[in-house]
Amino acid sequence: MTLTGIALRNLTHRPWRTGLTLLGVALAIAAYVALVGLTRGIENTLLEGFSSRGTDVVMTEAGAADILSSVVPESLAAEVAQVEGVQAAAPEMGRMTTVGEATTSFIVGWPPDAYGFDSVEIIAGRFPVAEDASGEVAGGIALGARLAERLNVAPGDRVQVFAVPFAVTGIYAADGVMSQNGALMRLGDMQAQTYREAQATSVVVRLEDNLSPAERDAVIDGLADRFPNLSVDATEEMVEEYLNLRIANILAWVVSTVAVLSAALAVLNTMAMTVNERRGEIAIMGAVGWPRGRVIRVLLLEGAWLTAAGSVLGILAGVAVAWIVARSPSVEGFVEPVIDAALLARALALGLGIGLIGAYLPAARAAREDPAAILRGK
Amino acid sequence: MTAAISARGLVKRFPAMEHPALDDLSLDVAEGEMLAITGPSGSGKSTALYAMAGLIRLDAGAVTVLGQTPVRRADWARVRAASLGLVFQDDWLLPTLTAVQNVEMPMIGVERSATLRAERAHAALDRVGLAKHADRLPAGLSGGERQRVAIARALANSPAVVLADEPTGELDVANSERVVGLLRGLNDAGTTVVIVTHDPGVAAACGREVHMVDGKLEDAP
Ligand SMILES: Nc1ncnc2c1ncn2[C@@H]1O[C@H](COP(=O)(O)OP(=O)(O)OP(=O)(O)O)[C@@H](O)[C@H]1O
Ligand SMILES: [Mg+2]
Repeated sequence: MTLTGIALRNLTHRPWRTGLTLLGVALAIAAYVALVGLTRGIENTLLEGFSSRGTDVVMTEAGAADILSSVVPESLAAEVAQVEGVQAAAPEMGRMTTVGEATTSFIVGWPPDAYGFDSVEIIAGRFPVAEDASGEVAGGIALGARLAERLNVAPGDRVQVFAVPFAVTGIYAADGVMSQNGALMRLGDMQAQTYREAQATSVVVRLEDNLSPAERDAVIDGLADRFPNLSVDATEEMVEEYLNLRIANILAWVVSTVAVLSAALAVLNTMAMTVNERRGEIAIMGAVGWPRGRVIRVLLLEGAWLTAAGSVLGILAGVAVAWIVARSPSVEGFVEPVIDAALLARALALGLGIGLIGAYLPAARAAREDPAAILRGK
Repeated sequence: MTAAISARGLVKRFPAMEHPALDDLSLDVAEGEMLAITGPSGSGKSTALYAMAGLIRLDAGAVTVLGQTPVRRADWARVRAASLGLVFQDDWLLPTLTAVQNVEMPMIGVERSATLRAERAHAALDRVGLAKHADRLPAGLSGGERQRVAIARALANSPAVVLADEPTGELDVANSERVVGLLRGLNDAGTTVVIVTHDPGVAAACGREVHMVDGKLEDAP
């Protein structure tokens, strides 16, 4: 018989109470893991989306709530390209729209000479950069590999975009989930289909290679000075400042905090009940010569095992829920949960923290009680 | 003969009591003796016994156990673990542990080897005649058997002194006799035993009896 043995026996002695409390902890940890994993996934999706297109800096309409609601003149890109430190600049139009039978996808419109075409790897067919010989309404569209797979189309097939049949010119591979669930077409076609002549949503910029971080910052500051009525952001900042992401972050934080707090109260309640029922047992531990620290340790072990089991269950459930949500049709392809060892370790630490605090408060109170008063008679 | 326990000038007042529960009580328990503490209800017998085990905070006085005079809580815990075995009117067995595990409990932190702990716990159970029930939970034992497990638990660390507060209070005559017989046997083997009791039969089995009235010994000045 060891201290851990005593703690575990107390837990298994009341399977219902233990089980329900464990479930409460598991729910909280699952909510934490799933929500944080998913919001990080969204963040990652946005970042990868830009970086896989080779973009370092994004210039948008000052004050626009998000990148898709920004409007800038297409012609601006040529001016930006002249600035020192800028390797290339291109107008870009982003739209969230339906491609064929698939759910919402992210379509990017670039002029045929955009630098981005060099960063994306074509794996079948070609980009819609040359004139389409078929003489259709539009110059065609290139699809992300996964989107093409889901739509079951190959170069030469047609897909419905903006209620118009577009010829699929090619299929490309990219790192970003968003690119995997995205499509590329010519800016001119997109402007025509969306009644946005000469407009773009942003000017995307690729900086000279081999710039030091300080030089990068200087170029970005220079751009901001030169174009005072645009907001100029490095892609990482752009992602951080993305309003929807900030909302998602706050929601994730609020929901996890509420869940974790209620789990902490559940554990506290269970341990307070347990300790109260076992005042005699705690007193006898003292009477046989256990120091106060050991009495408290047994109860802490009980809380720790309870929440460790709950946390492991919660982590498994949280990972499962995050992936199920990511696979659900409405967000499929947009979010890939980012759940790393650090997040799991933090979830486990959070669960154990709940257990230790929930157990310590009643345990310390019980160990302070006068054993003689309890042991003298029932 | 030296004193196993020496209590000097013990005073304990409880709130809302005009008379102190212990009123300048002094008492020596000789090494190897078997002492009965008797007296009317409320005379302070239990309080005196708990004071000798360091389980209550005294208002005045000091208790010396085998030459040590512990003051701090942690010192008392060490003395109890090493030298004192306690038996109460109720058995206070942990309901989730088997008989032998209950007996093993006081050895945690004293004996490092789990094997040795289990071995000694079985030996202690054997001494109280319950070897065959070692793996039963307390709920599966009779009242008399449970009290014998509690005695085995008190013997776990081979204490020099056993302090018992009405150990037969909840038992029928046959079980009482058995428990007293066990304590007698312990004393014969050299353990100092102090029993608080109402039962004249139990007191008669002890080598010496002191009578408490109003928080002190009857014949004390
Ligand atoms: N924790 C306590 N709080 C308040 N009063 C107490 C407490 N413990 C004991 N007393 C009081 O102290 C006095 C002595 O109590 P004690 O239990 O020592 O008597 P006793 O001789 O053992 O009595 P009994 O034979 O009924 O067990 C009693 O009046 C009792 O009510
Ligand atoms: Mg009493």
